[in-house]
Amino acid sequence: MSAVTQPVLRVDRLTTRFRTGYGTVTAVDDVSFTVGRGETLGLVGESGSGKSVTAMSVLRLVAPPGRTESGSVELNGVNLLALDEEKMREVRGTQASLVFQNPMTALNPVFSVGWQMGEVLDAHGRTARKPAAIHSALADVGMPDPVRQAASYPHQMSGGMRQRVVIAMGMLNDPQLLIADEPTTALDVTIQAQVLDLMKKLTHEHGTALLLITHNMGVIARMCDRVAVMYAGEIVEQAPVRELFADSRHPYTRGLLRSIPRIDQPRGQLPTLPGAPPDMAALPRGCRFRERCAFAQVRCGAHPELKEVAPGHFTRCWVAQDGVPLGAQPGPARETAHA
Amino acid sequence: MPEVKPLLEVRGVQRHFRIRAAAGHPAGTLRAVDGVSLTLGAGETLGVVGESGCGKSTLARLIVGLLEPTAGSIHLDGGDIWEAGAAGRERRRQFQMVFQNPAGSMNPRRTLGASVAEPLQARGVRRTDEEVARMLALVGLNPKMALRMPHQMSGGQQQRASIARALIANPKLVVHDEAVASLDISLQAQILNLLVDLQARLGTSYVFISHDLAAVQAISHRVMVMYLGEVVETAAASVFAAQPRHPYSIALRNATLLPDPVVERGRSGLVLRGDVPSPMNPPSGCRFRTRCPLATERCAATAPPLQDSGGGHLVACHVPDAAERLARGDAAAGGTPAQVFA
Amino acid sequence: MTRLLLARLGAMFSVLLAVSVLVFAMGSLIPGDLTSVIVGQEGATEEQFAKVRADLGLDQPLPVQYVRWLGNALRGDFGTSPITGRSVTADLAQQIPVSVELALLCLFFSTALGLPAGVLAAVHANRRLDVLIRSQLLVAFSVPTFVVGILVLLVGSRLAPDLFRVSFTAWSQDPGAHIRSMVMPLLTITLPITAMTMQMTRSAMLEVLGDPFIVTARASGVRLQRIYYLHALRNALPPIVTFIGFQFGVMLGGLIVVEQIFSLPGLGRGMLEAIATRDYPMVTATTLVFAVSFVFINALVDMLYPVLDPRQRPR
Repeated sequence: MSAVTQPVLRVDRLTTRFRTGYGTVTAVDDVSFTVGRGETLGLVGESGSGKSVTAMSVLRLVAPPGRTESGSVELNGVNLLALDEEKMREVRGTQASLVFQNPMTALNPVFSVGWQMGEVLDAHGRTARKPAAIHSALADVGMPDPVRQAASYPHQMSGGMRQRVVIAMGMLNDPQLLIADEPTTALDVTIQAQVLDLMKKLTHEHGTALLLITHNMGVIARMCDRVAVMYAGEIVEQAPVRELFADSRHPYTRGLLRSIPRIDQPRGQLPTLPGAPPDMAALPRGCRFRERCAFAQVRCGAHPELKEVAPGHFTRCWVAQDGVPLGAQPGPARETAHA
Repeated sequence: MPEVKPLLEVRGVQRHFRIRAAAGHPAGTLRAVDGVSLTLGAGETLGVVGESGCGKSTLARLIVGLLEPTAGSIHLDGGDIWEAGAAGRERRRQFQMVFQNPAGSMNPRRTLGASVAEPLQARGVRRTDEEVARMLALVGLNPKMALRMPHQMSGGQQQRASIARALIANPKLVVHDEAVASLDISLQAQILNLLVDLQARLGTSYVFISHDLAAVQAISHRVMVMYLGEVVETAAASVFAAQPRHPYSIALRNATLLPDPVVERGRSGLVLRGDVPSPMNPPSGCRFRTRCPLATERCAATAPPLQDSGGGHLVACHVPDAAERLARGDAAAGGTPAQVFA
Repeated sequence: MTRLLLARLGAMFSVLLAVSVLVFAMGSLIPGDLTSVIVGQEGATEEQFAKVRADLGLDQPLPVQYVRWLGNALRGDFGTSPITGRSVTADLAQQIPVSVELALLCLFFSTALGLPAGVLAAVHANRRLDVLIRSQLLVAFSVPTFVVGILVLLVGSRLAPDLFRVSFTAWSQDPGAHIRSMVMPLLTITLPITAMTMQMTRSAMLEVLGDPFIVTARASGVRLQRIYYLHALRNALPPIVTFIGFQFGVMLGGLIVVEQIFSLPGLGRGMLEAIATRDYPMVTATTLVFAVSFVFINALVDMLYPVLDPRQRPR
């Protein structure tokens, strides 16, 4: 990707908060990343990491009491956060699309699939393209009988087929950006493989930028060019995919990668990360990963910033920023019996 | 060496459900489990892996005695668990189950301690506080948590409590039905480790059911693959990891992504086409043939029996060298070609 | 799909049959006898009693009486009222149009007002507009129909006696006067029904608005109004429609009160009079009409489900 070409999506210091009577949760805290044309950026994290809210924030779909309070989201150079609602509506489904998790519920059960796809065209004045564009989009995602399937209802289709429909809907107006939030989590593993391959093929063919949100490191390994790891609302590490897996520079990423069971590893005890993700309503001061970190030091009581430690490789960790290798743990892996 | 009788013996178990016609589908028989046999020794873990419609959840409930088989039998320590009267009931009490949804499997209106104590109380034990405290500590929870309500705890803590409840009455066998599927990945490893640790201490046998092959391999001594109500392959876990033989197992393995971009993208592999057929209307002969790249006419005509291909490695497939042929990227004449996308 | 609808129609007829048995049984359980009403209390002889009884067929066993009654009813013959001396069917024929008009208009207006109000309330849930709508209609719903009716009557006839005629005028006689005579009864009976429809719409919509496919529609750029009134409302309709079917029963009860207060010559008032004068044939006939219409409306509602929800259709 040439440095001259503008990235399709540039998110800069995005912050989204939920203010309720019970307290304020900063679900997305000062998050920045870019996605270039034809590139796939993975946003990975566990519950509470803020990855889904980030995706929704990009398209300004966060429901009250959540509000995007600061930062900018530039799509093709235009700041989406500064647009009025009608202009934003025009962007959705045309320049940027969302493929949602759980295909079982992502489609309206009382309307035919073709009708719902037609809505995407109608909403943007492209009615003339019906039904040809619909059939062709369904064919592109590998549906064997597009005309018949367009007349079918979601409950008549399997999970894999529904997900293909959702992808077809997203690609209908040839967006520059596709956001996929856990697109395969609810699907069978063999179907997941099909859907991922399909997405790879489509984004490749159309040059679409793909923002892929998931908790599955295997999906990241297969699909992404670059990865951003989120923890407790922040990006804690960002790197090209091979580097992230081979030489991660954040204790969380490292610990996570080591604890995932792999089919090419024998039966045995897995090294684990102790503890659990923090309570977002009561975040600790300083580094948010501190309580679970084997490398924690006194200075981790101060909140670290994201810094570049290798070309294109950023980390939010004092220890890593000092160049201390995280390969060896300072003591035995803490498998504390506490939750 | 004297033959050690296995702890659990499942012989040709079937479970069919008659489905009445309703708006949406005609009447028919759902063959959820259609002839499954397995054995399990004490202190062993059998991993059962498969996707939706394969029948693994129904099998879980059959083993535990929540469902009665429509055919076949289940034996614990040599005795039929469905024997009439007290003998059968006592055998069924030796099973326990851990479910997928930790929040849903605890009574939200009872304290943790009350829920964990239930299996003991069901056997008439009155004073359970000490045992509850002991079990909670064993699963890594602070014994003071006994006074808390489920909604006050995290998913990981709730699942640990479920495990404590399952083990408190010292069952011989625990069935885990997707026990780690709804947990965060950093917690999954903790729970898997805990289960292995507890097995070593208490000698409990496990049947670990999951759609995630990686989790199954991390914890199992033997692996069993199910498809549409039948067993397609069974082998020791290490053997299965190195050399799966059934085309479906191979596809499953390929679809289980490795958290390692170099290896993952270097794999070219079989990606199955199409969807899983309906369990109410399974294909004739070999049920996998509609998605199998090596399917022949024989596969449509007769169902392949589960046969030992050497050293206790059982496979149900007409094609003897399926694994080698798939590795080479073969496709049978007239069959669906393997779609390889690296 | 026609099979499905025919099956539901068949079920409806079975229910109607059961209802007719019930109504007849209740009629025959009423203490006192039709005979004594006809013959009168004073100085009747045993032979007179026996003769009247035989004439009416009341000496036959009950099942036989039922079959005769049902047979006549199906032919539209409910016999003659011993009190008024007129054909019961003729009286019904006069009363039914009045009640039907009131009922249909009530159904129409309550839905036409309640549905959009409910959607608005759901969209603005817990904000000012919602609270406003709900509080107003809560008041309307909380006050009993007869209180509202009397209040409306008092106020209306005081404030604008010429504008709101109190006595009923048929449409064929004078359309303008007819309308004016129906406005207040309609208002009285429609208010609580509108409130309930609004409430039901609101909760059904709130549930649907929480569904993921709403997010999909928004993410596709579909306009909000269209999402609310088409994408969402279509999904919310089944419970709302069921509810309206039940409300019909509530409304029938309201009809009786309203017709009495505003002196409308409808079924409701007819029934009250028949009960007061022990006009047994009239009572059973009117009950049957009420019961049949309720069953019929709910059967219609039942048949609407496959139309509204594709998941209920046979594959």
